[in-house]
Amino acid sequence: MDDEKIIALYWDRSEEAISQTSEKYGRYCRAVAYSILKSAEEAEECTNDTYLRAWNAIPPAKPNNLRTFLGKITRNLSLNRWEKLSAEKRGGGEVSVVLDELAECVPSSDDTESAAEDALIRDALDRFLKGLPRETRKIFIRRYWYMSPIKEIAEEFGFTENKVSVALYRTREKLRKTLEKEGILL
Amino acid sequence: MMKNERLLRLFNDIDEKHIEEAVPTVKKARRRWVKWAALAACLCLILVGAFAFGKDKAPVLTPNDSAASGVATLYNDKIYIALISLEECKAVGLPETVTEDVIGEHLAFMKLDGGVADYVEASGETDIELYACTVNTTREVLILRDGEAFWPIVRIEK
Repeated sequence: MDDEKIIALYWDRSEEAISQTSEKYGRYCRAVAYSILKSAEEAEECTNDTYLRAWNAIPPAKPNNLRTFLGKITRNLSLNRWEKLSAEKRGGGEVSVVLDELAECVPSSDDTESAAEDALIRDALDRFLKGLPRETRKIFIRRYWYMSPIKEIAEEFGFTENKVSVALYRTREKLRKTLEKEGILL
Repeated sequence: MMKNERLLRLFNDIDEKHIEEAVPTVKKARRRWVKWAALAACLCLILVGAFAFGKDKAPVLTPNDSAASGVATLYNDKIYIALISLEECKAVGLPETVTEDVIGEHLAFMKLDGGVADYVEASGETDIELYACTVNTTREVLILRDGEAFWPIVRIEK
């Protein structure tokens, strides 16, 4: 079913909205959640929570791209869940490794956080990504948005794992320099 | 929140285009199916080919090759000439369809010569080989291979 039609179901408050969403994007959301949580059960739960969130958000939201709208919710929920789980049991899994990798991009700073800074960082990230060559950008996003293991990325793109690691390393360096240059302190 | 966690979180809100562009494809499952289907198709082709052509398989040896007409080979002080027709082959007891199983052990490497015979023994390795013949023939037969062409050659008295 067309995204537009599905969104219309949400606006009509028809329960069919959820079943249609689940049919079309259930697998995608579970995959996003699974990459982070490495548990089919947890992934299923986060996916169901995503539908609920979507139901509450639409209306008034009218997403242009339903897939990524849902994906972002799932990723966020999954990261929340991951934090909770890892607080209980130390480390392991893809997210730890990814966090370690990202630590390289973080220029030194003080500890203040603010919503205004968040907006700046988001902007900088978008501009940074736009300036990357397409393949590099895809690999970067697969790693840091989807949190796919390097092996999986290498297989899908037909590269060696080494090539993927090196590409990611160089791009992280680039990101760090970009953030530093823009005076963004995390 | 730790700084790298904050970066990871903020990464959530990047432009949708980029997220969409990098959607993982369900390629793996599909790829496996395609691989198996291709394998099965190849197997079918091989089976069909073997069945269809097995009986009338083109002989590996080429006795009807007029290019071999009169070709003489000198080996161990004996002269052999190429059998160039199926009648001649049958006359010495070679099967009608001459195939690989007729080829026996390697005897020598040969080379072209302009003297008494067209082929003589070579001192080193060449792409022309002489083999024994595994079939019990009425006269002494060897198999000569020149590149891709095979000829049965029969000894003649000088």
